[in-house]
Amino acid sequence: MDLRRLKSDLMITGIIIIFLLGMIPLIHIFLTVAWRGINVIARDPLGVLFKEPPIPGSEELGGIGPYVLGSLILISIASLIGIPISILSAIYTVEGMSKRLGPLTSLLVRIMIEFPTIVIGLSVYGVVLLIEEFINDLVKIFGLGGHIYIPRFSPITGAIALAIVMIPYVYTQSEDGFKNIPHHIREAVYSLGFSRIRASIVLSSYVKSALLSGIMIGVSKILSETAPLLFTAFGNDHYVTRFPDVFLNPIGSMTLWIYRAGLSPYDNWIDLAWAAAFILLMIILVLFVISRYIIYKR
Amino acid sequence: MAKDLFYLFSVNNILIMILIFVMLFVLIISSTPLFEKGFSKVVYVLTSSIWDPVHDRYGIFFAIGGSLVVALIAIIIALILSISTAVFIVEISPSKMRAPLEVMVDLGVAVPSVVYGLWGLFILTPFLRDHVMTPLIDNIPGIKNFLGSYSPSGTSIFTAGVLLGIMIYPFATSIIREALKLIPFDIKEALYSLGLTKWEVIKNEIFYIKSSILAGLLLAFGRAVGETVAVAMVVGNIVNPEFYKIFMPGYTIASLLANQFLNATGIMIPILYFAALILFSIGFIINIIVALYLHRSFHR
Amino acid sequence: MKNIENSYVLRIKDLNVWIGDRHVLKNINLDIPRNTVFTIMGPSGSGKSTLLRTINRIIELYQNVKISGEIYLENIKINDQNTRPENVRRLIGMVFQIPNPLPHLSIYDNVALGPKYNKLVKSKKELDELVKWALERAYLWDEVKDRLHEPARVLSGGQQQRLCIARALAMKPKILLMDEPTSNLDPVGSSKIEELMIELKKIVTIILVTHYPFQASRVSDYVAFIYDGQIIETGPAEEIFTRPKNPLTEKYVTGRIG
Repeated sequence: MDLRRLKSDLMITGIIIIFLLGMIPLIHIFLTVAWRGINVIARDPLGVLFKEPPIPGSEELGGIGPYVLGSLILISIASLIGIPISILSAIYTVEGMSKRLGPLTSLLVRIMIEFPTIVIGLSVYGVVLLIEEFINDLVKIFGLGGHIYIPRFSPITGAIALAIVMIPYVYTQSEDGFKNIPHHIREAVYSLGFSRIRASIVLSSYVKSALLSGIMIGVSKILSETAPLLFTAFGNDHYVTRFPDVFLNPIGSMTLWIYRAGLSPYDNWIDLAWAAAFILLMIILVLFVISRYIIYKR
Repeated sequence: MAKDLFYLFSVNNILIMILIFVMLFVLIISSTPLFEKGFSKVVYVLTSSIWDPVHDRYGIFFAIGGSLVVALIAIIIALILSISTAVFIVEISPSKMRAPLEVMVDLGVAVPSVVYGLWGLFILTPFLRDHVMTPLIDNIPGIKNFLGSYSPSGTSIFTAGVLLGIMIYPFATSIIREALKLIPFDIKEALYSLGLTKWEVIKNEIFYIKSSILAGLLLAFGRAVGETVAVAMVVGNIVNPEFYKIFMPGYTIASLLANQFLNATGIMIPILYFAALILFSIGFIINIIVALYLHRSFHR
Repeated sequence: MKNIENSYVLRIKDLNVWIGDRHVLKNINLDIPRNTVFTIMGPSGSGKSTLLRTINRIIELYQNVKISGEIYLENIKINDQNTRPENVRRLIGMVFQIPNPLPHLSIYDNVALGPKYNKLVKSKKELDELVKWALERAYLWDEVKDRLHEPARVLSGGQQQRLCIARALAMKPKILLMDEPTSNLDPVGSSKIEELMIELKKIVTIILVTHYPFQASRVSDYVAFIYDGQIIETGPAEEIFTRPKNPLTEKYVTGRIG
């Protein structure tokens, strides 16, 4: 009996030690990013947030402004595309009661969760190439001269790649939200004589915390993504804000900056990478807190 | 059913379904220049380790191997860490600590992979080089022949595996943690009332949820194989046919794509699309297994 | 013939309903007279709730349901593919066994929900008046008039049920279906609602489902006894309770079955 007890105590101690070992890197990451990031930002907070990156080899710090703006633009366009598609199809799956389309969508979406995101980015790039080839074949067939170029890198293709990453997360939360509506609430709403569209809108207000939670998760997820943007948005050290140009030129995101700058040999770029990491982590922390608050309010 | 604008909503469902097929279609079409060279060429590409842009000859075996070895190291580390952490949180920690610990783990899931990569490059890589690889190589003669010697910077397959393990263990922890919480209370009561020690109860609980652990690990494996930037920052990105010598730098399929795709010429292009197709298939198969397997064991 | 048809607000002919493989309702034929309390009573599982849900077509929210037969509201067929279910539900309201006000909406918004989105009123003023009217008819106005914007969940069970009645009344339906409206309430709450029903029949026809024969005898004008999916006997309440023709009916009203 004593031996068993001893073994149990030893194994439990072992578990505690392994747990602590695992916590160390996580805590260290937060502390390092905070320490290095704050130190860099403190040198010139507004500059880091708004200036363009310094030319390689120069001494100044510069900033990551175009990349912060780029993240904002990419996330916004991606959300505009991804959120409606996810929520409306979740509504159709649950309220439409279709025998095939609904369950099939559900299954396919669950396959897309945690899918290798570099494949998604590469496919979007591939689609752009194919579309360009197709259009130029048509141009040749119709005997029109010239050659049409579709920009390889743009906020639109980047946003589409991000939207594809986002959809499974927003969809599953929304679908679960609607599935969990108690049937007496659903009956109450329908008994008032609403069409399915109107009833879905009313029921959406009932499940709005689930929908919001899904949106928060989706936005957090794409804020953290890099690989889908490597071949679609690509990155841009300069601000491009004039109208048609914005959509035709490459655009950066904070994640792309961290990747490229982190691997570069320039100290000031590496410093800015830590700054970007800190800013990104702070934004994600805020989203995290907000989404916990939403769940708490339920 | 009478005409109802509601059916317009289904356009979104169709759009979602098309997405996956469009991606598959694009990857296959873009790989066809390779397929046109014949089945034996495809086999050659899969089984040899060459990267020769000058003569337009490539074989991605080193990348496939690299991906698998990195993922293997990551899974082993993640398995040990996630089960221990989940068990600690649910069974051992005082109840006041539970919530903050769960938050810590969930935050670990939320950290962007590129930030893990940055930390991995500047903190983990030198640490492993100086405190693990160097001592082992200096003190155990002949280990160089098994694990290789490290590059000056310390970037290696081993480093990538460790970093990936650290990255994916919070995700695996949350899955196992939820599974532990779902164990019906009377099962726990029964185990304790049989006079089992805490460790024995834990062993039994782990056995009880083994299907969840398997699912969690499968998902983590899928994530590990697909992870790009964190790995690309620490794996060294060197063509290394001896990918099993883990202290040496190497490539994974994902990091190969990240590094080479935009400079690709000639037959490299369809070969890289083909590599992406392989990644697509791995991700697809793992997720299908998990989706159908979980459906079965939880009777949704 | 015209006269008889006009005095019935709802007519059900040869209605059969299958849920999955189960034949839940068998050859139901009922004529419901206008402005009465028409009670469908029977033991649990006899199909009463299904019948109610078939009348307002809420049953169509569920899968594996097969229906044959005809239902006429004011001589217009309402259960075929050409009639949209939402149009039927605007004329036939329902109150449920578990009071189900939308908990995230205020008292006012719960009552206003139907009229507002179905565009029954043209101005906020009209809507306010309609909400007041409905709450008064449901014997709830005095208790909530000072707190119309509090969330519905602050009300007691009995009050919530009266809120649901007000919500249904606000649609000005021709028929009000009530599915065991008092089974989840205490005796005081229940008797308030029974009082209410007798008043309400002046403005709406009530089809009540209950498994309490005593409640049925207190409020009904007409009664149909349903057992195992079939209508065993129908008639004026007094007859059913004092001189039932069918031995099964007699056993039920005297409490020997159900």
